Amino acid sequence: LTANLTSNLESPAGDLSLELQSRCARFLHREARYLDHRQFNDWLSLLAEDLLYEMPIRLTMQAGAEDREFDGNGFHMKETYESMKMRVHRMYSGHAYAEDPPSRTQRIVANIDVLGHDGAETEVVSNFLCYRSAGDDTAHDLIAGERADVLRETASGLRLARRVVRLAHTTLVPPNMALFL
Amino acid sequence: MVTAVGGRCEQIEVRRMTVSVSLDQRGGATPGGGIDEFLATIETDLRQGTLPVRVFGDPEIYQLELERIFAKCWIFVALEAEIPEPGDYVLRYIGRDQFIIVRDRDGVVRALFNKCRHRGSQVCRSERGTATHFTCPYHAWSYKNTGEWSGAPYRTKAYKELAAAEWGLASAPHVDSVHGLIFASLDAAAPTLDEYLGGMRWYLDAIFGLTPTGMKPIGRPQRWKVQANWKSNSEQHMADAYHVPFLHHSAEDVGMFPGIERGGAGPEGVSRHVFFDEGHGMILNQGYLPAPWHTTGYPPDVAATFELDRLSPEQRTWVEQYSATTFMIFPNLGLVRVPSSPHPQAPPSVFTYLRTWQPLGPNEYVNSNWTLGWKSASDQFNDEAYVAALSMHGPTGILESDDTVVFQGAPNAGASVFARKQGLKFNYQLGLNGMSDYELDPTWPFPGHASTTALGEAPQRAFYHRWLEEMRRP
Repeated sequence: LTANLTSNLESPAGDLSLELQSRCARFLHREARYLDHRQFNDWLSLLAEDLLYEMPIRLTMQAGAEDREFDGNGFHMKETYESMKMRVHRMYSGHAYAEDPPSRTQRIVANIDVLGHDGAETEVVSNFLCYRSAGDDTAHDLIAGERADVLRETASGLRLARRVVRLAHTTLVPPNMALFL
Repeated sequence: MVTAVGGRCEQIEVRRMTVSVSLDQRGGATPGGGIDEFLATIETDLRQGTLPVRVFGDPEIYQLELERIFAKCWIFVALEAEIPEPGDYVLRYIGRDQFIIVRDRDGVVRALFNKCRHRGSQVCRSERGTATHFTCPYHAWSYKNTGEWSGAPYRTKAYKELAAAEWGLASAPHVDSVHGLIFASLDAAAPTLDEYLGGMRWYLDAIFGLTPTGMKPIGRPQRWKVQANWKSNSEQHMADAYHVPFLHHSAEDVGMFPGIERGGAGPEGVSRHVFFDEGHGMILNQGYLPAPWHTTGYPPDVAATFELDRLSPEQRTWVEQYSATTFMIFPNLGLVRVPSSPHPQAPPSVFTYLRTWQPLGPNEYVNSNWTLGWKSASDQFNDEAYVAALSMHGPTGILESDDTVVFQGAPNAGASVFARKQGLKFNYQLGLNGMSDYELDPTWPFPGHASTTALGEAPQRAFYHRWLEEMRRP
């Protein structure tokens, strides 16, 4: 996907079937449900083993230089399937104090748009709002952003092969990001 | 009650208090007595290895910290490599004040207060870039990148008699750098940076000066807000190996740092503390990884680029025996240099990060984090070290996530009425007067005080002695 979220794949958006669009939406909704319900192993099963996952750093730039907000130089996360597996393993280690007791999250995934498709892979963008609270406090964090995903067709269904998470924050809101977006 | 993201409502209240309580009202405004009387009692506490919880949760103390520590000490603001060319700038904070850290047209690095002298609007609003001038959007007053007043609309009609030389941007009176690390002090009467660093300067050579070309940032700094008191971060970077095997046990569980006891303060743990009466300090290790890795943790191909004859014979001896796990330069610059595996099958990769924490209140600060690589190392090594650093530390790091949770306790206790009425104090007695297997090593041949183990809190006590000294100095 390019910086302004246009597709590099061959099929223009107009040719994409409603069936494909609804399968992609269903994949993203299911993923969010797994994460909200802390079914981390189920979530892992949605990832391709050659996953590339990035959360780039965002800067405040003046109008006209917005393309430098994400200048590709600096990340909060640069993950692979193996590192995600490690992060999931930690959640079950009994020592993940940032998430024990667990925070409560509700992910709202919306504005899902299928941008391109080449038979094997589909490019999908979506927005998310992740509400997170913990303990007996009424305070909460709202983490917002957009995602550009590549979903791959496999014999067992769609798998997430690539994700870029573009946060709406230049200074991160939560003190820790011990959660998956 | 410690929660992952809790405590926000209470913090909003505390912030309001910060605004409404002026220093002139200090007498009766805070339960527990006036601030000067309170500070006068802490010397005795520190000698006994205790510290009143109020130190961590009082808005008046926070205000005084801004005035007497952050507006006086040398504060790290940027790396020279972030602004290599004339006109390059980044926006950075000292306490709550935003500065333009700019390399001016003559190559001089300056810290310009990012407030127009006319009405206080921000004159620079991109957080990094290159500029010859900074022009305020309000009435278009303009300044050169040296900070000098440069012009205003209708100048010949509007400002016929303006003493332009007096109306440049305010700037930090002192800016200096060492090993590419830029520091600024807002105190005209500050000592030189070298004097301020004292014996730490010797160790900076041995940490950053291993190659002629030095270190560079990999990627833009990360920035995130933490609900905690800034001093918790200072004392942890300075000396707290004790917590590592317990709070961070998950790093061993998942294969990121096998044998987490080696990072702790117990018998299998890190080597010792080195610290200074000025409140700076370090945790030292003697190599986490076996040969052929270097003592510093770097693999042979990176260690081969070190030119240790740049150092003094004593520094070379030190580099061959020790490496800094962490350091903390008073009040708010930290370093961590440890190996981490971003997943269990990946070999450990040693990374170096630099960190500042700028306080927004008694219970909130903003972290900035730079991961550093050696200019002499391969891109591949630096990239691997970068990913290793991101996996372990920072807002998304699996170790550091847990620190942010436990740090929330101190300011909450510090703001508690019950705690104040009880005269509640925290315990800093580890290693005090024979409490633990921890003594000062009279044979230490290098600068600073060195302890025999890391099972003590002498550096933390030295930090708070320095803190107290600054807080009591008008």
